This record gives sequence, structure tokens and C-alpha cells, in this order.
Amino acid sequence: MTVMADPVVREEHAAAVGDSPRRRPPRRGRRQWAPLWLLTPAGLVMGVVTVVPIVLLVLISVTDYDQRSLFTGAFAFVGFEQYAAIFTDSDFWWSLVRTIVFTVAMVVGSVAVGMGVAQLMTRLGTVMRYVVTVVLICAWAMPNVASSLVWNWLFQPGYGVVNWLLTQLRVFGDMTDVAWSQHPLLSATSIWALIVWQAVPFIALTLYAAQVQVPQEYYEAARLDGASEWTVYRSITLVFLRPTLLLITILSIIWDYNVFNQIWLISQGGPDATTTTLGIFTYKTAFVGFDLGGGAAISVVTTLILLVLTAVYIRNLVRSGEDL
Amino acid sequence: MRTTRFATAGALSIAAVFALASCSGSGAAAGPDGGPLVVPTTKAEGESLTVWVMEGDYQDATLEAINDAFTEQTGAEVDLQIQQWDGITTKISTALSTSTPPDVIDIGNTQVSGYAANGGLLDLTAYEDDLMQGATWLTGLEEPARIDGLLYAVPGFAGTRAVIYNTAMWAEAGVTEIPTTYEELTAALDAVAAQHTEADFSPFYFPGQYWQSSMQFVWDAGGEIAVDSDGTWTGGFSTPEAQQGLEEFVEFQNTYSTGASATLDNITPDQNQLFADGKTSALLNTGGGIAGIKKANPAITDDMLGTFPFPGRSGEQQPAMLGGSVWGIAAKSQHSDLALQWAKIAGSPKMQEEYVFGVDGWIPNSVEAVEAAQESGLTEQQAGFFAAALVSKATPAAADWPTIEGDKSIAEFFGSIASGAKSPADAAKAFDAHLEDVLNG
Repeated sequence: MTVMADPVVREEHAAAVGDSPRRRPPRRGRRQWAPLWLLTPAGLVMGVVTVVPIVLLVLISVTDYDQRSLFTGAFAFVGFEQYAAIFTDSDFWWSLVRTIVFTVAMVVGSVAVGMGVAQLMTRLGTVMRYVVTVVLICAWAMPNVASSLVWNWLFQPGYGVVNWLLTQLRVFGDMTDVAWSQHPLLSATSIWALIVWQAVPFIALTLYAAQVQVPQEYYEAARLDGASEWTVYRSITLVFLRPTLLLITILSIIWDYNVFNQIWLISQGGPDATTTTLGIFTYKTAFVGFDLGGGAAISVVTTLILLVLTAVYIRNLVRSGEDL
Repeated sequence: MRTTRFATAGALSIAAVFALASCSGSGAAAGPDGGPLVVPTTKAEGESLTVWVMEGDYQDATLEAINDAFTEQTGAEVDLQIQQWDGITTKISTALSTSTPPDVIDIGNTQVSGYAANGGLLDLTAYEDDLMQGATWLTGLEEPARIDGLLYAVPGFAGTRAVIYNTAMWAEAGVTEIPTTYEELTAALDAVAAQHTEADFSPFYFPGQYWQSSMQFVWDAGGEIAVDSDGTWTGGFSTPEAQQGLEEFVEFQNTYSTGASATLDNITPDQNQLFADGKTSALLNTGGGIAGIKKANPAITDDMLGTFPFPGRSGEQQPAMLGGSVWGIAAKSQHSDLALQWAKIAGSPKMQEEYVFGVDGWIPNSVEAVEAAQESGLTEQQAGFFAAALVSKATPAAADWPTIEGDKSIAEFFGSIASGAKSPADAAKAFDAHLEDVLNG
């Protein structure tokens, strides 16, 4: 309706004409170059570090680049042959399935444990809370290569502490000689444990920060009404945590989809390709077998899959009116 | 805004053009034509030569001797870098593709054919005669370094595997004779086992993933890794002979080595360290293992160590893998004339006799040097390795063999059989398929 539009139009017009002394509007036809100059260094770095490798990746994926090409520079364009080879390779499809299963397991594990730890921290006294925070940060700050190597020694058959501990429990029998990285399910479990252990601190601290924002009156009111703790958590905490939880889930999906170091250092994709996710499969194809064209094609497909997943998720978020 | 979109598109296409320009390289460097050449004797004061050496291949004294001789001859310094075996194929390939690669690289003889066939190493054929310096190189070292008759590397040393045992422990158990048959060996190990009943003690430490050693059982039974007929490779582990060898290996490994060792390799934990700590009385290792054990525990002296070739069930000693190292020069090396001089010194008869054999205890790179070593008198420890070298075999001479070593499929294959995770028949079927897939390109 025109009546409603007027104040808005008048405001914009006023701003454009320059009634307010604070803003000097740009004259028509004169661009402002200062912001662009300031952005150039960062833009250049981003371009070189991000854009050029992506362009090169796509270019390599349409060639037959291999070890010989690395040494002599000779290669040929083969069109979409590499992509056709991937889609007919059962190893690729199995890697994709493993990646999805692994990612879901890791995201569910880390978010669930993270939510639990965040809830725990709201109930702790000040001193214990500080202790828990410091411990969480130490776990999170440890470089994942160092933690993978330590994990290897923890789960070492014969000398590993974990095997000894589990044997002491007297529930699983004698676990001293169990080789975690050589047993399909056990290697996946130890890798899952490592990744969840290092993912939980970030999730827990972020959720804790969000949880302390929840106004206490809601809790008091709910408890006065006689709600059980589970109902309180479900109806109040989760509702307020929803935006943060959704953001954390997207981030976790992206990070866990791309996990490489931990898997490579613990099991190298074995045993028998059980832990060969798409990242490991790409590395093995491109840098162990030196089929760089094929590896590049797998990388492009992997990135597109993740892009599609994330786009669908964000589109749903935006449609449902949530803030990102 | 339209301008932004055009700017972005423009920037991207410029980036693509630059990328493409850097991508397409020139062809291989022009090789010398005409007759044989002499290795140049250029001097280069103040320049530095980069040499990559694999861990455990050479003792410090040997490398120092070569470097000093080189600096005296040319005036240039040497930047020596020790490399780890894990992931080395990827690392060398990446390094060889840069424009400033390491000049001289110590490459395993099972891995050199891959780099040579793909143009990563400098063609040394023209300098062949001068590099040989009158000696006849060992075939096991020279063959993998030759592609289509062209030479791509200078042999460094050869090594075979023999049993290293703790003479003191065995004497305690009442074993004083060196076993010459499989039954004598198992009897000796049983005697040692009776004396040491600790849970983490192995009479014979045999890590299941140490495929270079496990292969001896397969070869002893008559099996092969892979057979080449007219350019097509066929995996050999499913044959009855290989299956028999695998089963004999599993039996031996499970009886005389700890359960934990079935899925481990020889490096983590270091088997030399375990021997030095007294956790085992015998292991199968290369000549470098002697030096490694003494370094891990200086209290162990030469008279506490004995060696002999592993006796096979066939009645003969088990064929040992002829391993070894060669010196390759990067095709894109910026100091190829200095690199040639360094490689010539490292492969020279003098260095081979005095240091490679004298200090490291390896088998030197030429027939003449081996004979001279045998004449000069082999120590008791060296005798076992030289005897083992008489019956030796090599890995398949395929350009893609380094991929099989690099992706650890062969190590996992042996580890899975040793631990019982898979039966020899099933594991062999899957591994043979992988072998054929990779070796046939």
C-alpha cells in the first residue's frame, strides 16, 4: 500500500540526497576505488592459493597426467574419459558408501558427546568447569598428526596401553595381542574414537557458550510446572540450541567428510580397503599409483558431492527462516 | 554487477592461461650423442650438492668418507639428507618433478625401474664405462637400473637376508652348532623357547608384514611373486607351490614369534631394538642389521652375534631377496656434473672395498669387489650374508612395481595371513588380482 511505502521511500531519498551529515553519498558515475585497492592483497592471495589450484585440478582431470608427465611435462587431453572410468569403478562407489557411513557415524558421535559435555559443564562448579575447559582445549589443540601417532602407540598390539586396560576389565578376555589397525571393524572404531575425541572440545565449548545464553527464567518456570529434566532439556535447551546445533552439524559434516590425516596415519586405508574413504582413495590413486588425472577427477566429483549436500542443507535452512 | 562478473571471469581466464603455460613443459634434456664420455672434473667452489640417503643404508663413517673425497676433488659442499622409508616413493616422485630436485638419490633397486622408465632420472649411458671404473657390476643391481639398454643409476651396494642369532642365548639353551636344515633350526628354537617363557619373548622374531623376509618361504617352495609372459604379468600367489610356501610361513611365524608380531612390520617396533633388548634370540634381517643391533645396544659385541642363511624345507637354503641400493641422478638436477662425480666416487672400487664392505658390511657392487672381500677374509657375521647371496632372487622388473610397495598391499597381504584374518587361498586370490591390475598398467 502506498501509505506504508512512503516513509521508507522518503528515508531512502533523504539518505541519497545527503541530509544527514554523517554520510556523503558517492556522486553518480564516480566509482570508489579505495575499497578495491584495500582488498587486492587479500584477493590476490586468495586467488593464488584457492582459485588457481581449483582451476588446475579441473584441467588435470581432463588429461592423462601420470608420473611420466610429472617428470617430462608431456600429457594429452582425454576429455571426460577419467570421469567415465571413475563411475564404472566399483572401488569408487564403495569408497563413497564408506565415506557416507563413516561421516554419519562421526558426526552423530561427536555432536551427541559434545551436547552431553556442554550440558555437564552447566552443572559443574567454577573450578571443575575451568579444569574441564582446559582439558578440552588441550585435546583440541594437539596437532592431529601427533595425536594419530600417539593413538597408534596406545593401540599397539603387545605393548599398547588400551589393550592392557581392556584386558584388566576382564570383560573382553585377553586383548593384549589384538591388532586394532588390522581388524576391519576395530580399525574403524579406533579412528572414530580419535576423531570424536578431537572434535568434541570445539562442539562442547560452542554449545556451552550458546547454552549459557538461555534465560534462566524458562528453566525455573518449567521446573515449577513439574517438568522432568529430560522434558526441560528437550523443550527449552534444544530449542534455543537449534541454530547453533545446525551450524555445528554442517561444519562437522564438512570436516569429517574431508578427514585424511588420522585415517592415513592409523590404517592407510586398510585393512583390505575397509577404511578407504574418498579422501584416502584419491590420495592412493593420485600419489601412490601416480594416476594424477584419475585422482583429480575423483577430487572434483568429491567436492561436487559435498557442495550439493551443503547447498541442499543451507537452502532448507534459509527457507525455514533460521539464521545461519 | 556486470563489471564484477567480467572482472572475475577475466581473472580466472588469466589464471588458467598462466597455469597452462607452466603445465606444458619441454621434452627431456638432450642426451650426449657420439661415443662414451668421461665424467666431468669441473670444480665448483662454494656450491652445494644435495644428496638423499635412506635411513639405515650407510653408516655415518662411509658417508663422511665419500663427502670428504668429493669436497677434496671439487671444492663443493654436500648437503646430506637422511630419508625415512615410509612414503618414500611418493616423496621421491614429487621431488623429481620439481625444478630443484635433490641431485643424487639413494634408491632401492626394487624402486628404481619406475623412476627410470618414466623419465625422472638422468640417462648415464654415455658415462657408463667411466663410472664402472673397470669393474663388472652385480646383475641384481644393474638390471633394474637399465631400461631398454640405457643406464639410469650407479649400483651402490647389495644386501641379502640371513638369520642373525644371539650366540650367548643359544649356547645357554645348549645349541652350539649352526643349523643347516630346517629341522635343526626348529629344534634349536624349541630349546630356546623352553628356557624363555615370558609372554613377550619370541624365539625367532618374525614380523608378519615384513614381506621381504616372508617371501623366502614362497620362493623356497617354488612359487613366484608374478610371472611375465609377453608383456602381461600374472600374479603367482595362487599357485599350489606358493600356497604351500605361505602355509609353511604361517606355521613358522605363529609358532616362534609373538601373536602381536603377526601384523607388525620390521620398523615399528624396530626389530633390531627388540633383539638388542633381549626380547628375541634370532631374526631374519639384512647385513645392516648387525650394525643396527650394535648401535641399539653397545654392550653387544661381535662374538655374541652369529649369522647363517635360513635353511629351507626344500633341503636347500631359502632363496633370499637380493636387495640393494643404487645412486640415481635427477634428470632435472641443477648440478649434474657434480652429481656424476659424487656418484662415481660412491661407486668406486676403493670406496666399495674400504667402506661399503669394510665399515657397513654390505656386499659391494661388483664381482671383483666381492671376490676381493672373500679373499680378504670375511668375519663370521659377514659369512652368513655372503653365503645367502649365492641363492638370491629379485622382485618383478616392472615399471609399476613401486606402487605395490608404496600402497603396502603386499605387506598387508602377508600380515593378514600371519594373523589368521584371511586364509592363504582367499588372500592370494585378492592380492593376485591387485598385482595384475597394477603391474599391467
